[in-house]
Amino acid sequence: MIDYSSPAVRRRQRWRLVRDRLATLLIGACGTGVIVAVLAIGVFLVMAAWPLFSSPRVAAEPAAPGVEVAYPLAAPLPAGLEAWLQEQRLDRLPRALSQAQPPFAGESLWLAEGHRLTRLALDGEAPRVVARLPVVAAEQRITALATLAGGRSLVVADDGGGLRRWAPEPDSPGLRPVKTYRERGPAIQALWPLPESRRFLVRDTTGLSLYESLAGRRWQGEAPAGEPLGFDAGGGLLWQDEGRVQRLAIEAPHAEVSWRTLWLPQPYEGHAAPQQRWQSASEGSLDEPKYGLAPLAWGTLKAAAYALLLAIPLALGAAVFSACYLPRRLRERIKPTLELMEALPGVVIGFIAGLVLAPFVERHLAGGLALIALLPLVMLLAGGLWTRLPAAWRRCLPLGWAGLWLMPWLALWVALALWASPWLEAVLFDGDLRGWLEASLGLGYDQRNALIVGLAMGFAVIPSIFALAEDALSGVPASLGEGAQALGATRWQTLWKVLLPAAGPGIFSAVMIGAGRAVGETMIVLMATGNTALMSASPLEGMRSFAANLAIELPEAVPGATHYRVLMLSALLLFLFTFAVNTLAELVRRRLRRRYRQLGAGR
Amino acid sequence: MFCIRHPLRPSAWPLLLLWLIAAPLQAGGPIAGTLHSIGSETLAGLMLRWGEALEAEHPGVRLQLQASGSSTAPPALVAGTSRLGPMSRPMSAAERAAFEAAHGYPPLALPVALDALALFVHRDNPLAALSLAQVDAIFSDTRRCGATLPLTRWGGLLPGIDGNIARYGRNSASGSHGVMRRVALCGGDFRNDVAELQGSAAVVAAVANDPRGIGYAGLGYLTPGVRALALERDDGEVVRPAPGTTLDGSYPLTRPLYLYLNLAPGEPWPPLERAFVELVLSAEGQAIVEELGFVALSPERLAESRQRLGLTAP
Repeated sequence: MIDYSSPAVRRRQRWRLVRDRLATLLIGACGTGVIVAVLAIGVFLVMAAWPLFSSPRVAAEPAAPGVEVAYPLAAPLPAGLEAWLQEQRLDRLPRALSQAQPPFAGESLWLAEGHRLTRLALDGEAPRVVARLPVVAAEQRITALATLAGGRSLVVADDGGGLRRWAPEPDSPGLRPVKTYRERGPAIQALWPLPESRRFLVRDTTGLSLYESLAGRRWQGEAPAGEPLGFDAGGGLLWQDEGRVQRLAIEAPHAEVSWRTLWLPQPYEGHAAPQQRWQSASEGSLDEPKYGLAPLAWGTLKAAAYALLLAIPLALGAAVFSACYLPRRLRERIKPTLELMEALPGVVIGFIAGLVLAPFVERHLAGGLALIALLPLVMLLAGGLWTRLPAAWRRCLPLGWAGLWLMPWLALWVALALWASPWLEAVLFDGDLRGWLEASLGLGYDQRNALIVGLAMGFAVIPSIFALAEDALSGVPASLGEGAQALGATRWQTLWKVLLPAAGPGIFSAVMIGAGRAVGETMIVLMATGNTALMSASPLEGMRSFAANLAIELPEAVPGATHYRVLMLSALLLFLFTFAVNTLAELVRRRLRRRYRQLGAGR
Repeated sequence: MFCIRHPLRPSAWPLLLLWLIAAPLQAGGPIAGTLHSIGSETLAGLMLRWGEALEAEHPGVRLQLQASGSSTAPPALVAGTSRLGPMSRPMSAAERAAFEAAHGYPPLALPVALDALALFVHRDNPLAALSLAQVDAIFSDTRRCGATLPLTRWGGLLPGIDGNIARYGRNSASGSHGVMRRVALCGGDFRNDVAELQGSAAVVAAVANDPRGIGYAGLGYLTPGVRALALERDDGEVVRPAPGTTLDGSYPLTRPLYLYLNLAPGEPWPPLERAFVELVLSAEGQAIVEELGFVALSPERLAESRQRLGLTAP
């Protein structure tokens, strides 16, 4: 009999309650902490990527006293050239200097005469006319010309309001239209390229606007009264208005990024056609950075798709075998062993794939392809052979161990394929399979390609798919399978018509979890591919995934710069994608659990 | 239950702790303390070895090293978390401006070594030299250096070798990529099927494994599995990548490696930084540079740096 009134017992009771409350608090805090941390990461990524899409700020402010023009509105010409232009009475025409493309050397001077551009080569003693090119309609007049940083693009504006970018052709003195910013509008009066950037200000009869060479118009507003002087060292436009100097501060740190430049093909300098490209530039260089996310998204999905192509059949096969055919005792041993595979670090798998598997596959390409193509056939043959065996032999191997029968056949097949590889290549492809692939199928071959990634990452994804699918299959109430078999269904019919449909959502969610892992996997893709930002579906070419790209470039990106923010945006996309996939998988799994409860009710 | 008895009475622990904290301060005489360095990965090995040499000379000195990329150096210098910023490229105008805004004076840039980039091929590849226009035709799809057609097969370079050219290189944010782009590609773009690998060692390993491969990496990473190609200049002279040709400027693919310092002009140098820079510019420090496969600065350039910094001659 416990005396509840005794102080010792009461104290113990109180302590018990306090401990319970403390434990609840602690567990609650941990749980909330995790949720808050995930949310915080999401919020951080959004905050880091958000400034990319904020609109530029252009504001007039009184200039600091003593500020000087560091960059004139148009780049000055060499002294001799200026004198020559005056002599020829050409010095009032709109003009611009550009770098020539090979085979033309040196610089070219462009002069606008009416609706035509005159190209003058400057490599000789005196400037000589190379070509006269009509670049706008005959009834219009070119009013302003400018070259962008690097001197390889020419922006041409006319009095009809047309604004276009042209690039010198590589092999002729001509020009090639690259981008049309606008067809018509208010007549343009002047173009002022911003110093050391690929932006330019456009002054037309209605006001002032800021353009970026790829993204197009980023800002439009009123032009201040008075006359512009030039740009100061900070990139602001100095403006003279009735004796006072005003400064037009232009803040457009991420003007080159818009949804369009991130996802659509862009007319980059030096390329004949618009391209999907990812090629960042190191900080401080004047190279045109190319932030096309499409090749990275493509690479991410391609790597995941090839990995799943290998992992789904193998993992689901293993799950069905383990859940439905293996004796219980064996199953309890094999399942943890397979799940142990998940403990293999991705770096190790990636390293082995990149430095051992890739050269090996390259050497035995013909054999490897034959191996993969004919593997299912060989397995079917071996299985067929099994049914023809004398019954006494078959009794030696119980169903759970039947897989052992396949082993020697598989080993034999692998050995045969590798042995025959050089012979196959010599007989069928004149000894050069790679050359044959390229000549007849147009397939390039990279040593580190999607096939290697598929093998390596598929191997890494198998355990997670297997574990979840196995759980789903072995969770199917036994009454279903037993009932089907009692009604005379074969093992295959039971599996195909009863067990798989019942466990379907669980298997689906297992595949989704596997896809989530494959999309987010970093080290394997990083090490087993060449990280080439290509957009091809070929299994023999490489790719570059979001995660690998982050691992490569984030350490070199300057915090706050455009490159850094675009990387953060890609991290956010990755986060949202895996989050959505995993949430979907979890929702499906929850529905499945409810269904099992209904099916197995009362047992 | 512990089987080993405590070697010290509990009351002795605080004393020991005090001694541990105080010992480095006394032992090295006037020069002691911790130097923080945050910056380039390329220079990590050099900084580590210089730190070790400094520690051997002054036992009280510790060098704390963080090497995760050149771009990490300027923010750390601006925030004051480090006073040494090794970088494999010069600071950009924006980074310099941020430093000046924070401290009121420009950072001190000190070239500490030269790095030569070499083009590597598999050891069985018979090719001896390439011209810069050929390098451009292999690696770029803009071909600004004058080649008219891209080179995609080895047969286009040397009759007798077959197969497609497989290209390996560094990632686009790295300094090596920038040097290649500026010098060998005449400012053009890399083809997008140039494999981008993590680090120079990975490039060399990949080329060693691929008989049809060509890749660029630091000359110091030369291994028996690969050969470094010579470059043919426009005047027909063939230049091998080597310390000598790097120093006299005849080999074009080179870049200086920098150490950026946060030092207020006009103020006396803190002894730690002074000792470190003296070591870096000394014969011993430059011997370490050569040991790690970089190219040491010429004696004249060292003397000039020393004079500019007001350091005594060795």
